[in-house]
Amino acid sequence: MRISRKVVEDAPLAGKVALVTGGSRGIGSAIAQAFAGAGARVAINYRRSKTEAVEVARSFGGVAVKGDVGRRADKLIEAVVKKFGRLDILVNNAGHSEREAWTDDLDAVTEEMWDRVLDTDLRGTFLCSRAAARVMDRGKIINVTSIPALTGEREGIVYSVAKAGVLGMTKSLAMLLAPKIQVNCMAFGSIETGWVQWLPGPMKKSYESAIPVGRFGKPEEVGQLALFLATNDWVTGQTVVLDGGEARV
Amino acid sequence: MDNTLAGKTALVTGGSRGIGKAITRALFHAGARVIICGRDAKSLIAAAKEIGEILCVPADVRREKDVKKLFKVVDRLDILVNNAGGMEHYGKFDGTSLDAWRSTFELNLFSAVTVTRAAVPLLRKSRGCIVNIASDVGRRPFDMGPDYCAAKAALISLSRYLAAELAPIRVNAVCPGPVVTGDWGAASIRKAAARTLAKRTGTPEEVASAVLLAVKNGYLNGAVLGVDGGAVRTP
Repeated sequence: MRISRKVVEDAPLAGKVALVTGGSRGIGSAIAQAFAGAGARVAINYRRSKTEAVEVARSFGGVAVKGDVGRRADKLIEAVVKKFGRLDILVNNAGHSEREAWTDDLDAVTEEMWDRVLDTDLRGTFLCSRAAARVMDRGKIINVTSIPALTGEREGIVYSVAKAGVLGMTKSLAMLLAPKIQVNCMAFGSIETGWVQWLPGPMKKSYESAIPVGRFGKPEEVGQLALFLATNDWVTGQTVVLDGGEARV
Repeated sequence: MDNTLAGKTALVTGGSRGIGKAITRALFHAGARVIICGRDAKSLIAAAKEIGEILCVPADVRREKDVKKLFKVVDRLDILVNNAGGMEHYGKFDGTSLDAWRSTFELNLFSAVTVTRAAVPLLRKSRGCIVNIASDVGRRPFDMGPDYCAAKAALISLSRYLAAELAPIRVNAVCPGPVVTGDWGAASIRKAAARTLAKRTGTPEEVASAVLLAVKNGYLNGAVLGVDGGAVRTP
């Protein structure tokens, strides 16, 4: 009794298989590591940079599978099931980012930007979720959004709309897939990943001073929240804001 | 026992029964030193017998005098869980007297305010955190009486407000949906389950796991955690 209880507490995801899209970097890799640390077998996907993905996956004993979330989601899910025999948790973390789309100049926003961002962030989340739901017995889908989806963002209209779409999709999927699959969404504020090192020092300071806890979030804090959503069977249809108290929405 | 909260002191109001007891147990098993208070000394002692070495203080957190006495015992504090609360009556707006409104707000809002006022100096020292146990009906009102829904909504708003003003003390709200803790009867359990996507009522442990997340995650602040089987999906 004592031993089995310890296994449950130390490895709450033992026997589970997870796919974290866009899992080779930043937030995605933190989530993948947290799941692997909790005993899950974890797959991450890549579109082009195989070497990087394979290396990251190897660091936590997972695998890298090739697949584009916006185009061939079914193939991607198929590859994971082929490798591990099942799928229990899907994290729709892959997002398209391009610097040019971050602008407050409406005339600089092109139709192609809409296509690229919506393809990955919105269509990709839908296609992966649907394909995953087909193969899941019981399971969890965890989506990723961010504060601009809730508050709006002058310099990120395309991005905030795509992420607001993810909020609505989360709730609708939670209804459609209940009671077998729980679907939730994490809404991030500023998390200390790759982009932060490009911020000039004074700008970083000014960002931090707007956050009540006085700092950016750590990748492992993201992993901890994802792990909670991957293990609690009575949480569904929720949007959990992780932003140090910045938005209070 | 994972011991991640070893060395931390926690206070759980109304910590001897129902959801509060599950929170007490979760904090205790994570290694915290736990103090619970409640109106009924017998149930405090029963909880301690069941869970382990926790400190029990009989106190009615609606009374400032009791809270003052309580904080003579609480010498340091890292985690405050404002869990005490409940529905004392049930009625429509027309059938809810002003006294009933006052009583509901005293139990569900002012008690949390009183305890928080006493706790803040200690929490500032420890850079601690507060978790307020609100309700899904505070996010989106449901047929549970206007006073109860409004009091819980006020508690959620207070959590978001304090998340900024009390920083670096973190303040979060956990909003449980229907969790059967007392004597509910089959009909009300069915009705409550039907309102969730999960088609079942929740367990105190499922709520306690969200409290533990709010305590342990240092970037969770001003958040409202719905643990309700999907009953409410709005912010």
